[in-house]
Amino acid sequence: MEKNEYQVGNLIFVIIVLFLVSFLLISIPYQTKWFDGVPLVKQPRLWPTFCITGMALFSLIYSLQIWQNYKIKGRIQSELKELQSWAKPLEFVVYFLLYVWLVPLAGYLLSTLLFFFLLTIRQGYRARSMLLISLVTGFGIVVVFKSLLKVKISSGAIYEYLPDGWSTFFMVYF
Amino acid sequence: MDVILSSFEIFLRWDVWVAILIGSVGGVIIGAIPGVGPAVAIAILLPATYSMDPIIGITVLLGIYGSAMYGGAIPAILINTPGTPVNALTTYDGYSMTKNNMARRAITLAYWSSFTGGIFSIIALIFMTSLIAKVAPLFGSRDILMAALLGLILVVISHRKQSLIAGFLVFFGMFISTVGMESVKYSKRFTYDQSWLLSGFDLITVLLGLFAVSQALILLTGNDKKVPMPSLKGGKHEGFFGLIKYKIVAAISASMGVIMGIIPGVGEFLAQFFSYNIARSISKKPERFGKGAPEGIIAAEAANNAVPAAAMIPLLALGIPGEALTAMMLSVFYVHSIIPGPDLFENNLDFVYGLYESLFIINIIVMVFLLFATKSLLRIIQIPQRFLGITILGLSFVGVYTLRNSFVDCIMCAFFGILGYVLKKLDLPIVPIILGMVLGNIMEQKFRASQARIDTIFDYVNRPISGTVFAIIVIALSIHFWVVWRQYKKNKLIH
Repeated sequence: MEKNEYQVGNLIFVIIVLFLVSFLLISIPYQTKWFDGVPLVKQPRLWPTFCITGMALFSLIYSLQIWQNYKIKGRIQSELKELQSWAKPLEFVVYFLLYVWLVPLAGYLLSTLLFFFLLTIRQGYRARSMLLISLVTGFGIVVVFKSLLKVKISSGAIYEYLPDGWSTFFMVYF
Repeated sequence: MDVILSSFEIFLRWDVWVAILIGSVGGVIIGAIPGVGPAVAIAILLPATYSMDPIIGITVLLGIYGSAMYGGAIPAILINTPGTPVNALTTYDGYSMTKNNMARRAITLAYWSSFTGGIFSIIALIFMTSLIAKVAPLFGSRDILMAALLGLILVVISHRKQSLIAGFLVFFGMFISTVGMESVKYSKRFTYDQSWLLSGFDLITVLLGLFAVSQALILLTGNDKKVPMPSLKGGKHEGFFGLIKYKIVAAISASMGVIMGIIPGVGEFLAQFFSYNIARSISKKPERFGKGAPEGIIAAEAANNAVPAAAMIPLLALGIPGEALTAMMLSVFYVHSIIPGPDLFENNLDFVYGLYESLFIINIIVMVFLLFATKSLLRIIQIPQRFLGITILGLSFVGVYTLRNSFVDCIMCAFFGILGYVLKKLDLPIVPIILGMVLGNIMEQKFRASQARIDTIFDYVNRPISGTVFAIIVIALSIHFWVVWRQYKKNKLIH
């Protein structure tokens, strides 16, 4: 068996992996269909079962290896601390999803400027130059992707409240 | 000859030249920023190319793919931080040379070595194309199935000391590709009655999550590092003369890059590893390696830059990507309705040559750009890391939202972002998931397609090509298990 340097957090990771694999193994009969009279190789169940079995085999041997290494070097407190650190980026994921939610309402331009400006403040940057750079970066991204490359991003509901000419302009370019 | 001449026609278009310029210069800049890298850039820009003319979209992304490693050498040499993961080996000798006030020499040496590797592999490709065009149509379903299997096995065993988790992640990627409505009996697989899972996991969403969002989260939760920038003194051509002095090392390393690039699942890391070791073994002063040996930089950079063009062979000829970037390039081709595989060489050979020629021009533009713009690029390296995180997160939105304007896609992307974040924190590989997803899908299709000609299990390997590939699989696995067994016995002795 391969020996690995023990990395804090691996024990928690394999526990999650084992739970996931067990859940998927139990789900096979409910989440895939078996068609009578159809040869095994053409059954829709075959390929996912093969993948999950592979996952189960590798995760089982890997967890044995991790457990062996954990017994030598691991500490449960460090594991829990590491688990806590995994939650740290969730805050930014929430900001990201709020941004996604805001775009169809406030429009791509306004949402992006807000996203860049507020996240720059949240990151602790207070210098005016940095805040300006963040706004310029946000504006630049909108201009490059929406105005020039014309990527498909739904226009904001807010634009409907603008006067006719402006409304169309903002819907097309921002 | 007619095909080669007609392939030059695309260069009569001004927009192709603009795409080459943007892609190659953009790729160098992206490569030079530690924490971004070509994988993040391609993942973000891929959906933005949907609306472009196929050749323009492909050329921009090909430019980034072919030039990012040039830029990645700059921070590796100057501040001991590789711009892209494959530039890690360059830090050993490059940064040591910088500490010895030879930064300019190290940087120009890296440029010329990268250029040699890049051009060598493109020339090799052009000469090999007629052979590939003859061999590729001979590949049937069983042969492609075996080649994809070889790719997956090599991905697993090339992650030394991590092959167990790499194996798990490969199967995880393969499993992800099975979720949704399957195409033969039209039954649902692992959808848990959720309508948003019916179409399965989109490769681009997973790619963006694992590469871009996870990297943004890593940067956002980290700290800004201020690094003093060393001064660049010396001539632009110092590196060129250094390369001439060690031309044999450059030739061996470039060849190694081509060989390793062709084999699916191996990639830049093993190419560098072998080249570096060969360079050390033939050096008159092997003790200098790791302490500022010019041959070390040549070996690392020539090998890693020879890989992208060579990795296009299995991709274009068989539709089999060898690593994450070629997996992304595969989706680029699919998006633009170009289906890589044996038919491409039969029916669109001018397109294939056009790609090689684009890569050739990209290498020349990058080299000229770098020789004159290195000092300006140094400012880009100093962009605060957390601000970079904000920018990547903002750009990731463009990448994922433009696919279908779907909030669910963004949630999926965020989920894979967190998964990628955890994997990176644990120092576990991400690439096996992507290759599992891409190659797993190919394997399932080819497995089903080959059933008409299968009576016994031996029929999978009774064709000359599939039999040869199977033999390579057996040899690769035997070597791997032998190495693991030897390591196990050694550890047992120590304990």
